[in-house]
Amino acid sequence: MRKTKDLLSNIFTYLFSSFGIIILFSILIFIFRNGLSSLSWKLITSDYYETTYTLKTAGKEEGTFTCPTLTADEYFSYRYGVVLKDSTNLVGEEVVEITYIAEDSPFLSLINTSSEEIVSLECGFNISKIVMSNDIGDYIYALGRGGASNMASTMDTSNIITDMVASEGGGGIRGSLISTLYLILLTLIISLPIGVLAAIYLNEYAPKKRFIEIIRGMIDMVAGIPSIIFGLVGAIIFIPFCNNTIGSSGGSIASGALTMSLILLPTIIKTTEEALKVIPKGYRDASLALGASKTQTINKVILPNAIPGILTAVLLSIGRIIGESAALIYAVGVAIKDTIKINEKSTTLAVHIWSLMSGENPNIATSCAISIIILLVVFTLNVIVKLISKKLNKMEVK
Amino acid sequence: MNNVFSVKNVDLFYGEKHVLKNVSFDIPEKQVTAFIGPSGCGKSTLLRCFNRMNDLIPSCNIKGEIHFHDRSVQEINPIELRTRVGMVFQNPNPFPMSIFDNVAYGPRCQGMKNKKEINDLVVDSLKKASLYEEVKDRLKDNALGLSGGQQQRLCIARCIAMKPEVILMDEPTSALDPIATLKIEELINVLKEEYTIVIVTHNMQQASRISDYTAFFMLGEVIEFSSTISLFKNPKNKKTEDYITGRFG
Repeated sequence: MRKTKDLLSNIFTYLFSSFGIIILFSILIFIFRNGLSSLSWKLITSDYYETTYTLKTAGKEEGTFTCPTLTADEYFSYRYGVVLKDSTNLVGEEVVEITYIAEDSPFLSLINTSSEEIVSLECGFNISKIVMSNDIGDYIYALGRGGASNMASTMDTSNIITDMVASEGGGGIRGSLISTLYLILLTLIISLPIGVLAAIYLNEYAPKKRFIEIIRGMIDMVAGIPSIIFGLVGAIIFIPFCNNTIGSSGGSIASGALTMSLILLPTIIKTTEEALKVIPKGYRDASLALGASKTQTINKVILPNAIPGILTAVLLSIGRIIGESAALIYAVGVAIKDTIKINEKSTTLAVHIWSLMSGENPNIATSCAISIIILLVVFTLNVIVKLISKKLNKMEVK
Repeated sequence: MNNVFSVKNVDLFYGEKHVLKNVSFDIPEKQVTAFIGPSGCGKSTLLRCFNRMNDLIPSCNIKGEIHFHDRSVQEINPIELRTRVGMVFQNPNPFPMSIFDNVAYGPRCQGMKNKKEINDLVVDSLKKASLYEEVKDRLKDNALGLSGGQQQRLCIARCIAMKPEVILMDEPTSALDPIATLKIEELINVLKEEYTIVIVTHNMQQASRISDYTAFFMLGEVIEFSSTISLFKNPKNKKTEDYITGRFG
């Protein structure tokens, strides 16, 4: 009887734990399979908005070029000497990409219609539209979404290019990355001093009274409030506040930082208080018995020993800021930007994903690539937190 | 003989708990006074009254008079009192900083800035605590790297650096091995030339070895207070006799 009971409970334990682990791993595998191909240094460093050129030919005659070796989905235009390829840009749209330009190709000396400057296309440029005229003078078009094969063959039947739109770059997350870093920095500048000082008050100065216990309970409660509610608070209080003080209009990194500070305060207070609690009572007694005042004791003995704990709070906070999205949709905005200013709207990485996925054509690949970046950052932070906690515990034993 | 502390009719309560009951006696200057008695009898509590460390316990309530020289300790600023009445705790508790900084901590808190002065004071204090020879090459090392006995002597050095008149010791050797204990006892014998020492101990042999006067505590009362020789040779009270001969329940 006991054997069957043990067996049954063992089976359930293994079954459910393996179920949980399989689900977690499948999420990771999904993200990595979809995102790894889009993950590149280019994604991290390039702008979100592409640079677009409207071009015309500089009058250089097209000739007949020799075809280089092509791969399966590449097409060669004999008249202009370019290899075109179907590809998708970082935003996920289908585009025609130039992968080879012959030495004498007219594409190396095109004229920008707005600035009259000479532009030479390079490999990696995308062509979204070409307007040409054929032998009898009719205009013919080739659009990027028509495919590389169509564009190459249309170009070869044309006589002269009158107009074309080419673009470069785009889809990168540089702006969102920078705005995330700004947000982290600003939030920590605001919330760390408040949180650490509050923890010092609660642990060192506050009388052991019911009122203080109620405050502690409320701090715990605040830690459990869904972040979208903080987003609302940010929208109602901090956005108007920032509009009036630093001249933002609508959401901004500043109002986002204020909102995030609110979200993080309970974590910072709790973590710091835990760090203060584990400092041996002997240190306090020794310091006071040596004639040090309470403030001296806190500054010279308590705080230096709480630094590992405060650092843990910082790392936890950074992880939270990187992962937060709901509250920031209100407070910082959803507009992806390339130039980041503290008093303007922008997006953090998490909200960037939200923006990519909420558009007309959701871009799963790039979203997963950004997820990988977020995962890596959070993972690294966790490892650092573990190492620091280990050190902290070692100190406690002594 | 001058008295450093005089205790008159002191009652002490932790909340409802009556810890010290009508305690009265005097602590003589430049002598070693030992407090002995079973656990929880109020020895350490009385010791902590001398430098007002009991102030840190909110529920603590003291009645009666404790005079330091001719002033009541309650009238003296606790910070001033603690610079004149040093304390060494049961567990060695050096700060997790360098040996030098540990000894310099007290004087620096009092506003001493001159590096030369601090340096001389640290060396002098370590010498007085007979620790200097062992640590002179590694003053910048973390104090937590020292052995337990060395740490306790460092705590004594830290205390001496404040140039106190009295050193209170709360079971200073109970966490140490016999050799380290012996060193501390030798140190106490030297230090009593210069300082008044009050020591709480569980070890009756230790009390008889190092102290000049002994107070025997039981259940919050001072059963007997006299010179150590007379207390151990011919105790006047039956309870004292039972305790020191080990017949006490």
